[in-house]
Parts: sequence; C-alpha cells; structure tokens
Amino acid sequence: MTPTHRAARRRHLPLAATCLLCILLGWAPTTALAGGYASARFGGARGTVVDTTPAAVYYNPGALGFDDRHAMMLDLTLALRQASYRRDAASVDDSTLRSLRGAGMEAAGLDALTGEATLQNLVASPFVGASSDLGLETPLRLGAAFFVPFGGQSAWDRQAGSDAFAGAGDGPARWYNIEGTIRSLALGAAAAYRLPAPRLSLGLSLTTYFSEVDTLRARNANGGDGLVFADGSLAEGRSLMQVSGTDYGVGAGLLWEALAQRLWLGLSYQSQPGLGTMELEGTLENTFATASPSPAADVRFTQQLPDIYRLGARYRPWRRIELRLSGDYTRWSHMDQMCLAAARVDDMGRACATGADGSLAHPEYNADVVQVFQRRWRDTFGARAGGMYFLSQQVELNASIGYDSNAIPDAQLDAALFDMDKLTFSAGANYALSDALRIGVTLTEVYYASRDTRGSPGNETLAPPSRQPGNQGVYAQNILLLNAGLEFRQ
Amino acid sequence: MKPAFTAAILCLLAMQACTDTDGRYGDFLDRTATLRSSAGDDAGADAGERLDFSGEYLLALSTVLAPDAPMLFAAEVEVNADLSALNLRLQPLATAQQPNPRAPVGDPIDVLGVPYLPDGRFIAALGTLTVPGAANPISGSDIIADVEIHGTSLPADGQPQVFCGRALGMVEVPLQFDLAGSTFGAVATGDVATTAPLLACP
Repeated sequence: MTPTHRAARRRHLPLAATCLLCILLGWAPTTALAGGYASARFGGARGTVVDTTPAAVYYNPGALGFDDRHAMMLDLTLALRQASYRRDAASVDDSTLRSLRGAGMEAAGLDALTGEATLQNLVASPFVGASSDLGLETPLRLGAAFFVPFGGQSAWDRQAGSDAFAGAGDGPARWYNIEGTIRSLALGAAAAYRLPAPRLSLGLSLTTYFSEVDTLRARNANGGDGLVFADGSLAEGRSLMQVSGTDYGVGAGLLWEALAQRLWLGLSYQSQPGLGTMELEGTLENTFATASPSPAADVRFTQQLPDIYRLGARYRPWRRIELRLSGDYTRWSHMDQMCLAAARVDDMGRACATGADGSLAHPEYNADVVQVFQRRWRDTFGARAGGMYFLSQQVELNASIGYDSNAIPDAQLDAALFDMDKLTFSAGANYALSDALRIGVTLTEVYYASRDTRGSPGNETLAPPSRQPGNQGVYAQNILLLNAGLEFRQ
Repeated sequence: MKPAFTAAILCLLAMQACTDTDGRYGDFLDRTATLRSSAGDDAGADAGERLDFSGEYLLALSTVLAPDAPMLFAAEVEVNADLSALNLRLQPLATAQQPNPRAPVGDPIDVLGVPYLPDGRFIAALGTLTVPGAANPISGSDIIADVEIHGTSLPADGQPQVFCGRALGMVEVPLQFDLAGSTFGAVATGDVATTAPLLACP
C-alpha cells in the first residue's frame, strides 16, 4: 500500500459525503440511556408503556387502540454525552513491560498506555411514527414507526502523539475502542384491537432491525497491548471491523382502562431482535506490527440483544393531575458473548462456544474464530415515577425521576461498551397549539455512578481467543438529553 | 451488498451521523508507513557456493508479527550427490507453553527436489501449510499459510552448520497478513530440545 493511505481509504468518499450530510442534519443515536445500551427515550414524558401516542408501536402496541384519531409524531432527542476512562499501569501486560524494558523505553511506553481517555459527543436520535384506524371506524388500529432502540456511537478524543509510539495519539482506551458504532435501527409496524366493554386494547407488532457494528481498535495478534518488540520495532496494530445485518422481532402488549377516565394499566413484551442470536456479516481488516495491511477478509459477527418486559400505570386522581409509574425488565443476560469468525463457518454457535476460561469448547474451530468478546451481562431493571400537572387545556407540565440498573460485570466492563447504575431526572412541558397540533419539550439529566474496576481480574486473564488487554480502570459518564416532539392528530 | 454500501443506505434511511473509522484507520497507516518492513531484501546472506549441508537442524521462523516469538521446526536436509537439488522436511515443534516443549506436533512438511543454485541459494516453495496451534507461539491457533523460503547455506568454518534467509508468502488463518520481512535461521544440531534458535542470517 502506498504512503498515501489517507487517499486510499477515501475510496469510501460517497459514504463520507453521505455521512457529512448526516452530520449536518444532526441525526445519530445516543448510548446507554437505559440498561445496557438500550437507548429508547423517544416520546419524552409520553414515551412509556401506558401512552397511546405512535411511540406505542415500540413501547406497547396494545396502547394504540386507545387513540381514536389519525396521529403522526415527530420526535428528536439530542444528547450531550461526556465520558472518561482512566487506565493505570497495573492493567498493562507483563510481556509488554518486558519488551519496553528490553527496548529501554519503559517510562515512555507506560505514558503511551495509561492515563485518561475522554470523549464528548453531541448526537441526536430521531423517531417518526404514525397511527390510524384508516377511517374505517373499527376497533382495529394500525401504527408504524422508525426509531433507534439500541446502541450508539463513540469517538474517543485524540491525544498528544508520541514520536516513539505511533499509536499513542488514539488514547489509552484504544485497545477496546478508538471510534465506532454499535447500533440497531428499527422499522416497526403494529396493530391493536380495542374491546370497548372491558375497556381493554390488545396489540401486536413486528419490527425489522437494521444492525451495524463499525469499530476501529488497537489490536495485536497475541491479544496483548504491546507497543514495540524488544528490538524497538513496531508491535502495535489496528483492526477495523465493519459488519451489518437485518433481523426481525415481535412485540405484544395490552392497555387496560381499569377505572374509567382514572386508571390505566399497561403491559408489553418486546422480543429479542432476531429472536435469539443475530448474525451480522461484513469485513475485517488488520494491520499487525510491521506487516503490510491485510486485505479485507469476509467475517461473521454474532451478538444477542435483550428481550424487554414493560409494566406501567397512570392514575388521574383529579382532573389536573396525573401520576405515573412504569418499569422495565431487560434481559441482558442473553448477551453472553459476541463472536467474530471467518465467514466460512457454518455453525457459529458451535464454533464460538467457550469454556469458563475463554478457550474454545471445540478446538477444531481454532483456525476459524478470530475473537470472542466475553460479555456475561446481567438482566437490568428500570423504574420511573412521575407526574403531570395540567395548567390548562393547552399547557401540561411534567416531571419524573427514574433508576436503571447496570448490566455489565466488573470483569467485562470496557471502553467499547460500558454501563453503570444510573438515575434520571426529567422535567418538561407540552403545549397544544391547536386541537390538532401539540409540541413538547423534556430535559433529562442522566446521572451515572462512576465505576472503579482497578484490582479486578479482567479480559487479560482469559485464554485465546477471548483474551484481550487489561480493561481495568475508572469509568465515568454523564448524559444530558433534550427531547422535542411534535404530534399531529386529526 | 458490501458493508460500506449497506452502511450508506442505513445512513440515508436514518439520517444518522456516522463515525469515520476508515479515515482514522488510514491516519494510523499513514503515521506508521515508514515503520513497516520492506520486502526484506537485506535479510538474506551473501552469495557463496554450494556444499553438502545435509543433516538435522533446529529451524526458527521469525515473523514480522512477532519477531521475538519464532515458530520452531525440526528440519532435515538431504542434498543430492551432485549438489543440484535438495530435499527438505520440516516438522513443527510445540511451543514453550505446551506440556512437552519442542516435541513434534502435527504432520511434517516435505519439499522434494528444490533446485540448489551454484551460489548456494535455494528457494523452497512449501505450499499451503497447516500448522497446529500447539506450534504457534503468538496466538495458539492453527495456522494456514502459503510460504516460500529463500535460503542460503553458509560455510561452517568450524562452527555448527547454518542455513538461513527470509520467508515470504501470506498467512491466511487465523489472521491474514503478509510475511514479507520475516526471516528464518537453521542451526545444525543433534538435539532440537536444547539448541538455541537462530532467528536470521548472522
């Protein structure tokens, strides 16, 4: 490859131009607003299991049945995300330290491997949805929506480079993520049927998920974090993985008006995308040590996203006040591992099965499996309590507090995907410009409890192909959300 | 549909901002371009003359991926009577991490009738090799590679017989990379278990 690698990489100029347009338009998903990297916050104060807006296509298809008009909803969530990761010398491989000592570069090498990585990303997440009875005036109601239920992107800040260590400028988080996207976009369709007598509406949904993983990280062939060999030659490499896939999921839900005009109870279920393990296909490019950059190799990548149970209630004790309580149980325990293997593998489940130490359960696949990313995540739960105050027929004020638990054990917490216990504080308002048009704004502070995993065993204790560099450190994050929505009803 | 094109469609559909992983990867390649190996033209020995260097050797293959972690082979060389060709057998040896370090693992690789040039050089096309993971000191995974060794036999001059040179080709599994810049050295020995490896031509 010629020295003008930058020009060679720009073969994706049409994509870059498209993405520039995207950036100008300012749409991108946020990250980890609920458990794990579930990122659904569309609808603002009215994005819950008991709301009947078009957001119900995702939150509770049964709730659609309680709307009696044609409705369209445009919603945008802007997120200012700040995060940091501090890595200490204790996380550096012993073999790396030996090589640095051999090269007489230990002090400078530790500077290039440790310290604080930071990121500040301003991103936006759209929702577009509609619901209608198509003018048929039947108990059947249909809805459709586009939204982003999972994932996001991150670009860690560049740092001062090092003349001795070419990779240092990408920061201490680079062994897990330099820049990348892990995201599922969704197109959902739903149908609801209302039973007037019991004041009950039941619904089903079908969702198409478009998933993408596009990540760049520092990586060495031995799974370590070596910078140079003992003779001072370059050891640090890079891996670029770009995979995508399409999967389907189903949902069901009900909304029950338990007390007429006073109390509504909602319950819903969203299946795992792909109804289990998702397989994405794409390419992997590696550049290791002083070897020439490898051509793109065809690969498969597997992951498991959660299914989600939601339960909620809204109660209007007086005309001007509504109280709300909702919760979700997200089964992130399905996310046991992610696996990257050669595209020729027919049975990814068998190929990627590992033992407790991270080695392959079936060694005949040693030559096929590139990397296993052990996740071993836990189920999460979230709860939100809030209220609305109706100043008038046009103006509504709302506020809520919430909690979402953490999905990721200490041993598997890394700079590519991290989560914490979190509290949310929201306040907003809705204003009806007319009988047909309502606008709403909600401001939410998502406070994340920082995590310190120093001293815990991490991915460096695993056997290949699960082994990765030490991921211990201090993780911190904060997100400020601004949600704005327009709802048309006719 | 190629992943890049798929991502473009996703971006259009969702009007999603996209990270520039390709650009940042290219930046790294630019920063490290001068650090990457050349074809290793200077890794061979000076030309000499043919000699009968038949015997048993410990051969160490030092790859650009991890030059200080060589793959080890027990090598047998048989030079024919008129010194015009040689046969080569390479038996992979277990790494130091295995229960029996330097024990034979997997099938030997035989290359017959390698032309042996008057200046002492030879080029042996080893073909597509499959080497067990137990012989892989870098990742422990099985290896599939197309390898060619360009070697030179060196006069012993009272020292153990040596032949050495560079290794070329492409590793396909578990990682795809070009071997250009890799070297090998082979030292005559009666006991591969105790002989210190030679990583390149002296």
